[in-house]
Amino acid sequence: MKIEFQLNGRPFSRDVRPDAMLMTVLREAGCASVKCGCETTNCGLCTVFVDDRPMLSCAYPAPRAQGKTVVTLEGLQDIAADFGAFLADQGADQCGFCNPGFVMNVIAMQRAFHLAAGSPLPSDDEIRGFLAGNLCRCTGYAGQTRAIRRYLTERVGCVETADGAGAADGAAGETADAVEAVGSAEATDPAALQETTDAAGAAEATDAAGEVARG
Amino acid sequence: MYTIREYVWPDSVETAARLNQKKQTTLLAGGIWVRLGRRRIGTAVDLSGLDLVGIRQTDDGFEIGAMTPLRDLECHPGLAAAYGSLFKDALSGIVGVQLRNAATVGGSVWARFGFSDVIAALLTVDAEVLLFEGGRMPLAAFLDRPRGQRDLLLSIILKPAVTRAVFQTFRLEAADIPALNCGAALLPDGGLRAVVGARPAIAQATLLPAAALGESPDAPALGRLLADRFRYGSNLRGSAEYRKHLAGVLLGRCLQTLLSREGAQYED
Repeated sequence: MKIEFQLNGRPFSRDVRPDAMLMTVLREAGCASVKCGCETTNCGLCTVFVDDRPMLSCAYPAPRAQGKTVVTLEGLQDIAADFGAFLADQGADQCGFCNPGFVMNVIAMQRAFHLAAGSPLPSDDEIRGFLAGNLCRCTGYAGQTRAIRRYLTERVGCVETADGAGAADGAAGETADAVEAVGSAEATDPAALQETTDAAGAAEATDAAGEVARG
Repeated sequence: MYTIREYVWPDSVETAARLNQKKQTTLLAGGIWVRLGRRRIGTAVDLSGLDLVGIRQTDDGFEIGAMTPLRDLECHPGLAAAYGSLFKDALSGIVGVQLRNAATVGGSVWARFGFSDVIAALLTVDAEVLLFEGGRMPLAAFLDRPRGQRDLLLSIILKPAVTRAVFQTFRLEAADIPALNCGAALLPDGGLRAVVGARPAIAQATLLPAAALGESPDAPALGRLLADRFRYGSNLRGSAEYRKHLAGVLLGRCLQTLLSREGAQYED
């Protein structure tokens, strides 16, 4: 069946199987950033925007995209490169496989929280809550969280508030056990983390307890 | 992955219901769960083009279209004003924002998953369902009906059945399906409504009359008393004994919040 939609700002039409998923169609259209990472609708790697909402394209029936506006990472190269530099600067990515879906959802978060110059910086819990559907099997999300905080403060202009700092402190407090277990109390202090090159292990433990530990 | 022979956009609910009388037809709501199976679908009927999306504030409550994404329930200011953080607490642990943008409230209710946080939360506030053929009935009655009926869920109706509601869900790992979930609500007559789901069987509700609460209710003890009324099972996320203990603790916490002054704040 023939479907038509806007893809990255251009009209797109294609004959698709009635059981095709949007992910497959987008990959065949050359959007190589869109990947299926888990086969269980869990990992967030296939995230694209459909009418401005982040969606799992692996489970989105392609015919349903008829008439919609679809944006992939290929259509957001400027912001992707910009935020990607922050990720690299924090040493956040290791294998990098999960990056495209992760970057898409960070952009979605920025929009959903209406973050702009002067906005309060979201707490680590708020950031983790929004990004919980993006899995990374290499890291413990600490580098990513640092990169997001830096990107939001330095590039977007978010302002760290007393409230936000409180929430972040709360998150660190919850994970005190994990931090002690690896013998690095510095890990509770984001500033210390940024300067400590070998803090990655401690940071992973922090996040494993505080957020995901998905096995 | 499923296979589909024919993909159909019905022009009305009536057309969808008529197509649904055939065994080869599958109605596509969010499409999340069905994609994980290997169903061979003759006719897939896409419900997303029908006017079934949205949360409408009515004179005395809300009508939630069956095709409304779960994420919309979490973020709706009207629902937050009426039910506090109930829907946020119940739904924000479900996989990720992207999945909750696709998964629908109707798809979740119709599927009757035992682990469903959606059903447990709706049962906590004593929601009703509106079916194309079956009409309007309490969600609890819908859940008791035999499966396999070829009806079509149109909307979820929330009326002022409870004055305040809270929810607790317990996951072994973030974003996993829950090992147990609980909800509790205060009734207009001063009694309590308690719900336990993911037992791992589907959520059920029980009532506690106002008289049983007494002058200074002991929330942890009442939590254990209520938890004793449900049956629990074992699976890879926990044993029946573990679940029963969890239910007692979580219901106790729910009641603590409900019965405390702090819990009353969002009414103002």
